[in-house]
Amino acid sequence: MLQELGNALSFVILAAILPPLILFISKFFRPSYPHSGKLTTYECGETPKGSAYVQFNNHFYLVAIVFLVFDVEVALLFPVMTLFRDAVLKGGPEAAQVFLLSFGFLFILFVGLIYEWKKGDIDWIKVATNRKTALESGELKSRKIPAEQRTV
Amino acid sequence: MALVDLFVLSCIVLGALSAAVVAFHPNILYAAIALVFSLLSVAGLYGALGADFLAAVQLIIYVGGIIVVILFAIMMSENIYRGRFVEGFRRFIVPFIISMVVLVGLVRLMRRAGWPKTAEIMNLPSTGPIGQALVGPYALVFQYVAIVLLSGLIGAVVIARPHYTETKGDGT
Amino acid sequence: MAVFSVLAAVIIILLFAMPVGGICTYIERKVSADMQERIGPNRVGPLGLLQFFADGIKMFLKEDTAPKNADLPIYNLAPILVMAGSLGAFALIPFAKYVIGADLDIGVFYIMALGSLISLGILLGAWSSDNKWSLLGGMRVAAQIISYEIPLGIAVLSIVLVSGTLSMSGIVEHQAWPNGTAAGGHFWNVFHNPFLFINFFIYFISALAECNRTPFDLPEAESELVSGFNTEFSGMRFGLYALAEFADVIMFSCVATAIFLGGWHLPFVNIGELNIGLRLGGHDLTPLIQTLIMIGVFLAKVSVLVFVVMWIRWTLPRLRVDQLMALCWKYLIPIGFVNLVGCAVWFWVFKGASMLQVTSRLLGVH
Repeated sequence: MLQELGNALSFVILAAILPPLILFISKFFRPSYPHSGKLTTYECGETPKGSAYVQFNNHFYLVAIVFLVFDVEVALLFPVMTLFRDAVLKGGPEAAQVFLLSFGFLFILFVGLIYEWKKGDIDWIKVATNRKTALESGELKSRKIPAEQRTV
Repeated sequence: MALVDLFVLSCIVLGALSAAVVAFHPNILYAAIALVFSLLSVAGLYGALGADFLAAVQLIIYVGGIIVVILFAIMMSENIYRGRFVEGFRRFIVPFIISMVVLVGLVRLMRRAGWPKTAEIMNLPSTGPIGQALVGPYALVFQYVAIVLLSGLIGAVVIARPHYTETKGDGT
Repeated sequence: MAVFSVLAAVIIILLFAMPVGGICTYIERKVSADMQERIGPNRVGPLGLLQFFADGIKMFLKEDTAPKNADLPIYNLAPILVMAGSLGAFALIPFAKYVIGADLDIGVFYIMALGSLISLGILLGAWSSDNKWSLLGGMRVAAQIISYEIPLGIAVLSIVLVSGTLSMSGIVEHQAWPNGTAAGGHFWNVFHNPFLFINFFIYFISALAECNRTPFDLPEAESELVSGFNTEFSGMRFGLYALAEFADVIMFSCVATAIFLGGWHLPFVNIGELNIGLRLGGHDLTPLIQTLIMIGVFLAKVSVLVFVVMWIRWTLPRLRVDQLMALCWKYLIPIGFVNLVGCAVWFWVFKGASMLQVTSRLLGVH
């Protein structure tokens, strides 16, 4: 097994060496005339205004956290799924055991996803948690076209 | 020296150097990237021990998940990468003390542990036995882990939720 | 033995992945030209075939300008991570029965692990160029790539369920035509049960999103954000990113071919048992010819998938970022979970038989 891991690692090392190697070789062939106009950051031709810092939507961080939990779940399900085929082909209660345990695990985290969905955490732009009152209060505009204005 | 030994030694050296950068470097972004390298070296050590599944899990969850969360947090905090909290030589004191304490504790633990011979079991596939353990003796723990993950998910989301006023946040 | 592995790495990466990645840029320009009813590159070399070569030389000779305030160590690290992630996965692709760079026990799982390095590389690259537009693009890319890793993982999970092993060559072995192998094979995995059929499309859509191809190429949207996260990368650095993107597309297509479309198996023929009686100087050439046929079949399937990827690029409009996230979390993940449960139920009820075998049992033929 170590031999195979070594093979895979040599691929990764070779791929990691390539960018610095290519850039180093091209250093002998390419011109280098640094000029202050070339070194400023590019903002469609205007001079850059302000620092390179933007106020971000909090949603990026939320997506990262939800991704992390589901990533752990998928990674934990992998070894269990490898047992399923042999358990089924052998017959007996082992298949039921694997099935119920792994899908119990999956279901618990699926409940978490449904909670997020209902609370609006996985919307990029958060809409109100109660859709009906938001429609009535006018905060959320309904996108249904009334019958007389429909052209299709 | 066999190639494996060279690999293990280089993983250890890389891990130690990048851990030192994580502990002592004033720029927090460089510390986060050095954390990537120390986690990669841990994955390499797992691979050299024959635990190939664990090495891949380390890459997926730590490097691909936790480092991305840390980097998002750093990039979204204003000017955190420019702030210096402690100046001069005083910034070395606390990390040094903590790392020495952890080092002494780990060395004592390693002396007392009985290391089994790994040469025979190193070449066995590791995914199957992990799966067997998760549905066999540790089945209840497996479900409990799901509940812990669920509570972590909901807790983190409740804390990180943006607090909106009447206007909706601008979707960037 | 170490020499052999390095040699295999050099051959597969330098002589297959990189040239094919370069040729793909040419093929994409020709295919897109054809779909837009124009001609495309036809000046450099016969039919414009040397265009990618000329592009490579041009990028090689360009000046390397980094922005003044760029974080140079991270600026240099980013392409390394992206290339390591894209090209490192070529080690595990089963081109033929014994032609695989490294036959790890954790085949598909390792490929997923390398995909996480790519998102890290792009995020760091976007941050290090001191440009707010590329930072915005980079954050969006990272959010997109990490979100779509989950449906990718779920689709691969359903394959692992049906194959019982994580190793790539094992998964391909299980898809042999029934009348030949001791592995009790069934036909291609995509036709095994209807849930796997849908999961193939979930895998394909997630792979498109992972590679930042249209309709998911908002991060490098040419009409917004200048050039997205690679605004400040010019010359050869940009070439490295473009190559990594195509290598990513090819890698995901190779993985999809291997795990869903039956790898190097032909539909009604068991290639391992073809009797080709060619001899050359006392050596039996049959295994060599069989291997070549297997590699040819594999590459043909991969090129069909790559062509479909290019076709989709010029057919569908780009998704907005909130539509992209909604697609992942609200559609692909629930459907993926339901399909996973459905696969398990089918497997259990029919004791592992595929659709083909079930219908043939019902009709009484075999």
